[in-house]
Amino acid sequence: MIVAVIAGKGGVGKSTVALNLAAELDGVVVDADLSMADLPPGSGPDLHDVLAGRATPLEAVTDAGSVRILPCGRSLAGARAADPTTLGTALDAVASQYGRVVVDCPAGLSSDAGLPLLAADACVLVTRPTEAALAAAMRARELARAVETPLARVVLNRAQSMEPEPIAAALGAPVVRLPESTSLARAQHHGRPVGVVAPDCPASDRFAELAAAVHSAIRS
Amino acid sequence: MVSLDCHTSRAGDATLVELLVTADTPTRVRIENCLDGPVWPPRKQSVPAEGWDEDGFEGEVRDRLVLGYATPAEPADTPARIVTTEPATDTDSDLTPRDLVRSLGDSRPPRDAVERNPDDAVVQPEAVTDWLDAVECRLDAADRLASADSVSEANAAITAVGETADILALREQLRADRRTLTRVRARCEALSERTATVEIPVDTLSRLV
Repeated sequence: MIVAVIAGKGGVGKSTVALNLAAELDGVVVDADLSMADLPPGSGPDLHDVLAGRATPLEAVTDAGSVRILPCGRSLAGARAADPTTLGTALDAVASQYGRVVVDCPAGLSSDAGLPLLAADACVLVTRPTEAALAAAMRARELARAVETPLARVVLNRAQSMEPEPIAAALGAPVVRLPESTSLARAQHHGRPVGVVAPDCPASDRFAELAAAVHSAIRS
Repeated sequence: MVSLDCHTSRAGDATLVELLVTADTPTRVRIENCLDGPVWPPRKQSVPAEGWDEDGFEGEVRDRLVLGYATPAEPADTPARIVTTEPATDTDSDLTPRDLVRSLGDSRPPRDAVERNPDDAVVQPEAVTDWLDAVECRLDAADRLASADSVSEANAAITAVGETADILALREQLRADRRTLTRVRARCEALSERTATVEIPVDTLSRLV
């Protein structure tokens, strides 16, 4: 099962959701933001190497402590040499070995955001309760529709008090709200899931809820 | 068998045309407007939706397809008709990664943004370069001595090296070079393998500091 975590714009918490969702699903998080990677870098081969044919997808998966990760390179040359059209094959290989794969997609509506969506069984759309983020989320939703990837859940980040119904109706999927959380921010800064660092944090419960919902949405 | 049901209604200054196309088997159809006015197609991102053009619609029907457009023309009994039909091909509907890149654009950094191959930027220590250059000079001299096929060429090659004693010294030096190169190669390979496998837990260590 491959889940794409998407967002219309950057800075809404997409990588945080991807890392924590992968940890809850006991899967592999793939940093597919080929030009602006955000998840912790590894020390071995990365996704740039995989998409350039210099390493196999399984060689690039590393155990970053509490979650498995297929990191992405940081260099422009690496991003230039990578062939993004081979991403789907790479994700399938990782899913065959590890079962569950969560892809941290690039923000925006370019082909590098569309390709992981095309390969995914479902997607999770991350947004914030701001006009710019919601407008971008609507466009990302359209991209998911265009490649026929179902939207399993919308994550409304840093919006504990906001009513989710209008957003669920506009985007066409149930909403999971994430509270503002210092523990979550600190855990992400160190590249670790909040469920490991602060299991009693309310955000940990939301990620468990999100993982269960995504899992059942894909199975049904 | 493909059939077309039409329904028209008037809304303000426009006529809304609803079309229901049904087909027993997957079929590619071309439908054209018969009303006396331009087609105002459905739009997506302010451009006509896929399949629509100024005269009508072209696309695949799998079982049923519902379409609609508007026109300023007055309604008539036959607002639209099927112009052509042909069996649909499966390849039309499968979106491939290349199709996606074709429609959304190549998002890789442009070639000009990448200055040069990082392999070109490898810096070789100066002492290593000097030593390898010296070995290469001795090999060139030995090649000239070995390949001389005339007296004049042999004389020139010998003069470049020196006297007979120097030629013997060159032979000994090259034998020593070979032993050194073999040993250095083994050490280079071992160190290269170690650099490829060593992992410094930077994140863990940074949390300790």
